[in-house]
Amino acid sequence: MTDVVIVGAGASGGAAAWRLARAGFKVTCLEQGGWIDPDATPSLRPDWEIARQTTHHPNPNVRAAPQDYPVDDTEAAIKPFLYNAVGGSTILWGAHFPRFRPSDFRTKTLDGVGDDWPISYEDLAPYYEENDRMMGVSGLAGDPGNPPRDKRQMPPVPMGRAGERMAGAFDQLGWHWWPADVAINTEPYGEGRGACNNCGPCDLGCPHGARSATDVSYWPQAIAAGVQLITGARVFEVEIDAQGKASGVVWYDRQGQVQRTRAGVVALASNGLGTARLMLLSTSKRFPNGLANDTDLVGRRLMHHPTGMVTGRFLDEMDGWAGPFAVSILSQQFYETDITRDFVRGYQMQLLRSDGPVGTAVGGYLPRVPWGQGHHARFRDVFGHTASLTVTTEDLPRMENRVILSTHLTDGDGIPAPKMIYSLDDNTKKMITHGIDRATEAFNVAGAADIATQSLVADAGFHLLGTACMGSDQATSVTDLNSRTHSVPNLLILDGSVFTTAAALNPTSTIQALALRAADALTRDRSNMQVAS
Amino acid sequence: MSALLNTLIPGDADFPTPGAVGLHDALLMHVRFAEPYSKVTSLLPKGFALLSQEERSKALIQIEQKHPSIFNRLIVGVYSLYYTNPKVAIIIQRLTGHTAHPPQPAGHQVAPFDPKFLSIPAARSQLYRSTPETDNA
Ligand SMILES: Cc1cc2nc3c(=O)[nH]c(=O)nc-3n(C[C@H](O)[C@H](O)[C@H](O)COP(=O)(O)OP(=O)(O)OC[C@H]3O[C@@H](n4cnc5c(N)ncnc54)[C@H](O)[C@@H]3O)c2cc1C
Repeated sequence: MTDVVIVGAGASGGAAAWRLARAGFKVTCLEQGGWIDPDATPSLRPDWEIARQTTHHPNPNVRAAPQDYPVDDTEAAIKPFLYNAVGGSTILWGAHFPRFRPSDFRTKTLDGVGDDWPISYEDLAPYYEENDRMMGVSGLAGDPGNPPRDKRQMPPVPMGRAGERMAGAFDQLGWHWWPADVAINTEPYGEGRGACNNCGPCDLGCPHGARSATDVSYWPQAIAAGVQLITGARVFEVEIDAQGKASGVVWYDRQGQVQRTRAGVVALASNGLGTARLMLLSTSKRFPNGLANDTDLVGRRLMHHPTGMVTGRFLDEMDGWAGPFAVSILSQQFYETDITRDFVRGYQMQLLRSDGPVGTAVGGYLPRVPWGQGHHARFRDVFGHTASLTVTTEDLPRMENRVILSTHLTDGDGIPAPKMIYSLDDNTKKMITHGIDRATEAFNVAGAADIATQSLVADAGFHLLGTACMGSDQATSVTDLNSRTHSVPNLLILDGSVFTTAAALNPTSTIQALALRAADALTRDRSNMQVAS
Repeated sequence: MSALLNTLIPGDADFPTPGAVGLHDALLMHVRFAEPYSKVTSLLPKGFALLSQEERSKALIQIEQKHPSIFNRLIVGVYSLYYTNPKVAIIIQRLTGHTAHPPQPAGHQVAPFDPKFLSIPAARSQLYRSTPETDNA
């Protein structure tokens, strides 16, 4: 028997485990993946770029490692990207670390769309602060696009040639830009974590521990605080007692044996996709449609950040293969609603550096370099000469975008896989069109020789949100403001499933701040907590 | 056997053909790429190697159109193994300065962030919207 069992050792699981153990809870965390050895990163090998196409591909369907579960994405316009290991998807992430803006929590009040969160930016601000300290953030105070806040732990990452060029273009256009807040050390920070040496492929792992992931930030401290972390543990059911309280979880170990962990509180931190899957798998007499799913909201309101992409090719070299690939500068000029536009809410533009030789040839930011005559001429034209702006939009929640259980796909233990059903609405499409026009304008001002656009990047399902949303009304939400499910009071949802709306910003600092806040609320209410009998 | 590969990447004054850097064997031995390689090879018309470059391209376009998924997997395999081949990496280093070594442990030199760039953006007025809570804060 443990006080709290957490399912998933990723961004949110690591943060909550540390906080709860420090508050005196006996915490067990079950993680289906294992530890990643930083010294085994492919970026130390000459074939590093092959790993990106295979073993380290962010799509679990392509990677197909034993610890992965497949995802049925046949009806999804955006493909799932995630990772299963201690550290979760932060093992592969780009480490953009923005905070949501105050208006992101009030879309209904301000714009009449989506729903208001039951908490505000101000409620979350101290947890953002604490999380920044634990993860380590490089960036700069003074951004007029966001509320004033404390100095970051470290100075910003280098802008690179493309960053300098695009910053000049934004200035000429009179648009906002600012160095990105990133969870990457520009100086040594944290226990045994060195500084970034601008190698480029953060997604392959960082042998210096400079790119923060929870396996190097939270987990060493969580384990020191007493958390028991069990790897190779794949949970397939949350059990409830006769009163409908969560009593523990059932899981397969690496040998395929069924194990059971009893707990006073069950906390799901399995990613917006994995948590919805687990809740839908956990059926009972009390919850025939899935755990805490009286309202049929579990799995619904799936949100991504639908992304358009504009890539400029410059005649001079940009050396975009140097520097952390995903982070440099960003513009939030078109972030807030403007009634003169034909859409509500908005988007941000992030400047991406470019790829190595394989990534350039295979394509991603730009279409694939064509095979056949002229292949090398095109390769020479583009390699090291490009930069890209994402158009990262806010996705408003819709009931028809959802996660259900696949009827035919299973993981290695025979557990039904999740299926994503997802399409874009007109508002988002208009936003992307607007963003592509603006990004094209910026590249023109910056002097790009030619410009290519992608109206929707299908391979961009990094942010899986909203599938067990937070709210104050039990009829229209799954959890309360403290991330506890309305119908099972000792069941916590710690990951991005609880997002009421998605904002247009990378979600992980918000996911982790919410997890820390949920942990503190549990600590505060510990003596009154209703647990299984 | 290299007719297929050399049609995909013909080589030029700087770059060798895939056949010249042993890509045929590398593909056959690769745990993921051997399958699309064999499949596409089995779809080639008889006498493919004897066709002109133009005719070979036409035949491959047809295969690509009929079997896009498997063809795409082969392209990923060919480009991946070609551009990570040490002989090709050295040429890229000579032409572009991109190191032929893996990115770690040495990393790359990039000028650190220079705050001088911020004089214009830092002078802008507040860009985020207030909410009832920010107004009260
Ligand atoms: C390539 C890539 C780039 C990204 N870049 C950014 C970025 O720049 N900025 C940003 O904010 N976000 C980024 N993200 C997203 C970010 O990684 C996620 O938002 C974050 O990790 C989510 O945290 P989480 O705790 O909800 O889930 P995860 O970190 O995904 O962790 C969930 C964990 O639960 C485990 N799990 C799932 N189901 C079970 C089960 N049944 N039993 C046991 N264990 C289970 C999984 O194995 C996994 O380890 C990126 C993601 C990817 C894939």
